[in-house]
Amino acid sequence: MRYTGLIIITAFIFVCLFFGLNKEDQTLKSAFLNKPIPEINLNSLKKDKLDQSDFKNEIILVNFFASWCVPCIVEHDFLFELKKQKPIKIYGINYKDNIKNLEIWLEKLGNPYSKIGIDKTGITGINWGVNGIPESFLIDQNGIIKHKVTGVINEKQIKILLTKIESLEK
Amino acid sequence: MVAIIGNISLIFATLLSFYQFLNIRNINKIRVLNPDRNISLQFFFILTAFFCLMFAYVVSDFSILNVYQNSHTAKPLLYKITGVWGNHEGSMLLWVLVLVFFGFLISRYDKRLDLPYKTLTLSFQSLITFVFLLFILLSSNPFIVISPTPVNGLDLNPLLQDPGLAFHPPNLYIGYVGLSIVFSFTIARFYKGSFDASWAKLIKPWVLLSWSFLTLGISLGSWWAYYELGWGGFWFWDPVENASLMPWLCATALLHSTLVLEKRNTLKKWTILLAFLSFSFSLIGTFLVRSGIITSVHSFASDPTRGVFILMICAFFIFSSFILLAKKAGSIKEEKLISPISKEGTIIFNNLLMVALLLTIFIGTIYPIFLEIFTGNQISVGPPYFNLTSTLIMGPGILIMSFAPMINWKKDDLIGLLSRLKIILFLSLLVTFIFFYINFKGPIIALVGIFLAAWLFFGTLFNFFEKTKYLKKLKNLNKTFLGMTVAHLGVAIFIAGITGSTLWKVEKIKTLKVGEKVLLNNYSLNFDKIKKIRGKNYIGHEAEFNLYKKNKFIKTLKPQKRFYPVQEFPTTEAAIYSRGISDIYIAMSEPIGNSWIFRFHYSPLTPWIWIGSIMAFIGGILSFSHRIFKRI
Repeated sequence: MRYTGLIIITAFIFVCLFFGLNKEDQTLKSAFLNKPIPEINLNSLKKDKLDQSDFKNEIILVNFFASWCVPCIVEHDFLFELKKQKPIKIYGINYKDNIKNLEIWLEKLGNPYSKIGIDKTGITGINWGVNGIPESFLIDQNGIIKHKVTGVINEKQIKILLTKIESLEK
Repeated sequence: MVAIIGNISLIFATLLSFYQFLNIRNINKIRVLNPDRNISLQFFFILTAFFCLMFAYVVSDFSILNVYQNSHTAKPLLYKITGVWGNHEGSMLLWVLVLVFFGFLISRYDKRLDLPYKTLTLSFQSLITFVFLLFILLSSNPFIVISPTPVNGLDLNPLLQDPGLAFHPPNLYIGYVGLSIVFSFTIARFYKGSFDASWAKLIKPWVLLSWSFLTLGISLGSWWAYYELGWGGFWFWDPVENASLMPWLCATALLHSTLVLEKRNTLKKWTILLAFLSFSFSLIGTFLVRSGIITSVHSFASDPTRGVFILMICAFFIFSSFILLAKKAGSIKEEKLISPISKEGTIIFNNLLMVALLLTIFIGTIYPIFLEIFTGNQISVGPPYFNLTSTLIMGPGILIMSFAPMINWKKDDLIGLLSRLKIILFLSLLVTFIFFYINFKGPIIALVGIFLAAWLFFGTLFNFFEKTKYLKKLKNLNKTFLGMTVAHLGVAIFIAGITGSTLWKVEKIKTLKVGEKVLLNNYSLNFDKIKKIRGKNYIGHEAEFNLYKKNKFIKTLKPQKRFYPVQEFPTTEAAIYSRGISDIYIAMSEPIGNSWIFRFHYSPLTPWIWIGSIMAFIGGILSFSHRIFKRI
């Protein structure tokens, strides 16, 4: 066939585009995995601080969310579900949100968070390499990022998280 | 209720399009539901779905997820309407609406087609419709209902709350999607009829129409970025911009190669390939924009299944068309012998340059994706690469474009041609010299740009005078020829515009208090006032500048900085004073204490970018109207 070259090149481009589509998970994992948590110094909802000193001697899940984020509503129930199965601390980082809306949101849906840091400007989000919310990070006893979930934490993600937590507890 | 009607309409349209596609098995059979009626019904149902969505936006029906995510009761009515396509789902619905609309146009108004060929073409068009409707229903349904109904919506991205959204996407889509009908015409030709001059005549008006609207859509987008985004530029080589430029380049090549096929019965396979590539690049463009593979969409985690779905659609159409061409290429006979000094010679040169530029831009656009896969590094290919390559590739093209229309088909004599070029060369050098004399500050390359623009302008005019026997034969002037002349003159003006705008631009960034002034070329701008403003869904500040030239008052300019509370998003409304040959541009930034940061531009010839683009659009439409009216 005379157009074999054209077809092969096109096929190659498509294969690359396909892998390009699925790149998000891998690259983000590799950039932050097994590194200490990036800088964090936020006012919390209860008028105290959320900073590096809050990440000591226990396993913590950090969850970036906002009241304007529709997937976060879906995720919310699963955070309670996770706590039911494994009572770990969850810190929420409220990303570019309006405090009033946040309070109403928490009142309506409940509050699974031990602490909520207010990232009004989104700078903490940038430091942590958040691309879109919701995103969550699993931090070990030494303040090292061990796992990242991009998008909603659902049943499948809970299973993965539980195995990760178990291995960290050993 | 609206959601139910919308969903049912979409499902009916899907079934109808699939039924029409099944018709390819036996195109001569008379059916109860003939193709014309089928296409009209498809059009009717999609239009119904589209209006349902629009209605939901207008009445702020937040029970529909899509409306909730992209609208707000306080949003002005215009943006409620345009907000329909200011999001992924609605935008895809508009895409399909245009797709079906083109089928409808063909079935109603293109009387040149015999029934079997028309049935076949419409069947392939329906296949495209079917696949995209499936995509909408399965992964991008705009009619998803949420319960309980939210009290208010999340509002539309404020950058999109601009009249630009009303015009830019629909025009661009007419261009993008119009290429689908050319694709369907081509595929159908493999099964019925042959690739001869008559085929070129058939597709030509539709290529022209798509090309014209692509031109208009792209330039509207660029104009929008210029005054709304506040960056002071008109083109940023952003992947999304490139996505629209690639089909345009391909359609430009196709436009010219059909000429050769029509007149000389050759370049058949090349023209077929271009027809396929044009639509393929429309699809790839849709993929790049919609999948979020390059630009990261910020607010919501995007659904990865969508990207895979569109990629599969692209792969399906692109591979099947390429394989079809590869299989049947052997049976397509071409006339040989093309002399380089002939019209077809110059057109081939044009085609090669267009495709070279197309590939350069394509590589620059997808290179970051490749690099990330193979090395994990994230890079972005920026304007330096694109500016350099596009200038180098287009330069020679413009040189030839000036005299290409003068050359005869088959063979022309070089000496006679060169003697005619003398006067054009003289005039262009004169203009360049005048520019050099008025404004000699700029870099040398700017003079090259001006020379090329003048060269093309005078060459085109010269040809026009010559062909109309110095305006004596204006009466029976061929509209196609007039269209070509207007479009080529438009390109000349456009080149002058980008040259002035990019190379002679004066930029100043100043922090000013009320009462201070800034000098820009021969102008002085006095910062006289700042006041608070309040719109329907935004608050903000407006500054007042009085513009003087040599102490003579000209105009008050009012740039704004707006803040949209629902989305917590600031926008910049630049103030522009345009006098036809240059722009004074003020964009307002953040306050520091009681002073404000402003960005000032003096951009000579910038308005010419859009004047030239509009001329190209008008030229294309002139030529289209001639071709389509002649045969109906």
